Amino acid sequence: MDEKEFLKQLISFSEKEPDAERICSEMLSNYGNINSILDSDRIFYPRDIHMREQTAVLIGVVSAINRKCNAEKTVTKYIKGTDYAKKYFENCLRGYIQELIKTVVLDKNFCVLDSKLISYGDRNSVSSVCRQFADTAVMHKDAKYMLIAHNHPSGNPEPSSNDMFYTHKLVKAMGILDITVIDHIIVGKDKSISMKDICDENIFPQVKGYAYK
Amino acid sequence: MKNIHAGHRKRMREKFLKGHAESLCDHELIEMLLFYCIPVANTNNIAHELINSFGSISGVFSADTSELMKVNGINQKTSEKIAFVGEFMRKFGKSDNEMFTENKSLKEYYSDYFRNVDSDVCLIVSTEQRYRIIDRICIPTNIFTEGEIPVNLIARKLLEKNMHHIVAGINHSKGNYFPTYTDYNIVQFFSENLSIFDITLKDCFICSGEVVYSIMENGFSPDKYF
Repeated sequence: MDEKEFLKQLISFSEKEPDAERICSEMLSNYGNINSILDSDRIFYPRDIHMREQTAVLIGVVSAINRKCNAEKTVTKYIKGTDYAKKYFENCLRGYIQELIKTVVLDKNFCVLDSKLISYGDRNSVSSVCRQFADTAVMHKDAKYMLIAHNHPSGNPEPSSNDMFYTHKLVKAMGILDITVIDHIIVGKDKSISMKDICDENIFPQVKGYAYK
Repeated sequence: MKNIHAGHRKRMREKFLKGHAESLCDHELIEMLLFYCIPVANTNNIAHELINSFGSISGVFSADTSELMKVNGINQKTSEKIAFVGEFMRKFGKSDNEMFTENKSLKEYYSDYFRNVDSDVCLIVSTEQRYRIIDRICIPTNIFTEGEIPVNLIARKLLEKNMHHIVAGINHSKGNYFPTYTDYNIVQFFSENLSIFDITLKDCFICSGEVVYSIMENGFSPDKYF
């Protein structure tokens, strides 16, 4: 089956012939290929293509399912060591124009339970950052560990004094909830730094079973 | 006695049309797809059972028909439709999980994207992350030329997708990579209407076959002209 046949067969879930054929031809004429149709939205469909509302919904549903399936391909299930953590956060944060901070909540087996991404804008609102991370952690009764990361848009991953200050506060805050912050990764342009590797051991407790090197 | 489930499918469609598709759960999306496969039945339960049986939404659409038919409520015809949608997405649903490197630029991305596209469309990508496309939306360029441009719809969609820094790529299906009046109209549209929402157009590429022409690199700046 060629691309046109595939699209026509999908549209025939909702439309009878010859409407399925007509809609298929008109959509491909306007968008060029199925990928572009899936990347569009029904609000941008040309007004002169007459299709049932159910058909527009069908294409939208398939498009949404496609995005979810693609997103699942990059889901990380476990973060069991520093190298895994660096790769995971580099994937999420490298190259962002603005500074962002991300947290990942893990259970006792280092299985990823949840994650949250926030802007690292206001330097004075450390309690706001702690609150957002705490909100994420308390949603999971199995939460045992946390990893934190942020990116440096400048490209240099060396921690600043502010980074040290924030890290101390976050570790202390999560400790109140009995959640151990394992590490804080800073993502630069070409490499990432583990603050556990370069900082005083009193900040981050040693966690059994986690591969630090 | 009034049937409380009457009109459920219509309400689900309306919820989908009013809201963001991404706000729907995995089972709700499968439930809605099953509307087109199973005429009269409670597809919500079947959707839950599918996800429980195959572990995830991608698991459902990777399963073969014989496995799908083991789920209560799924007959041969329905299993074939689900398997067909899975094959449809694998063949045509492009993902953007690859990271760019210094060697693969955004221009190459657009060139690849428009390779088999023989229509005039505009692809807007979010460039918050320098080395990967976070999100994208494709709009036929005749939206900008035929009748009133739906400013509110375009602005809402870019805001829904949390776009701040964007690049627009316009495909010229007729083979000419020089910017046209329509292309400058599109640049003007984005510069004048969306900057108030902190949505910045970083560049506009005109794509024709292998050639990708950056109008900003060639000296055009919206601030200067609009």
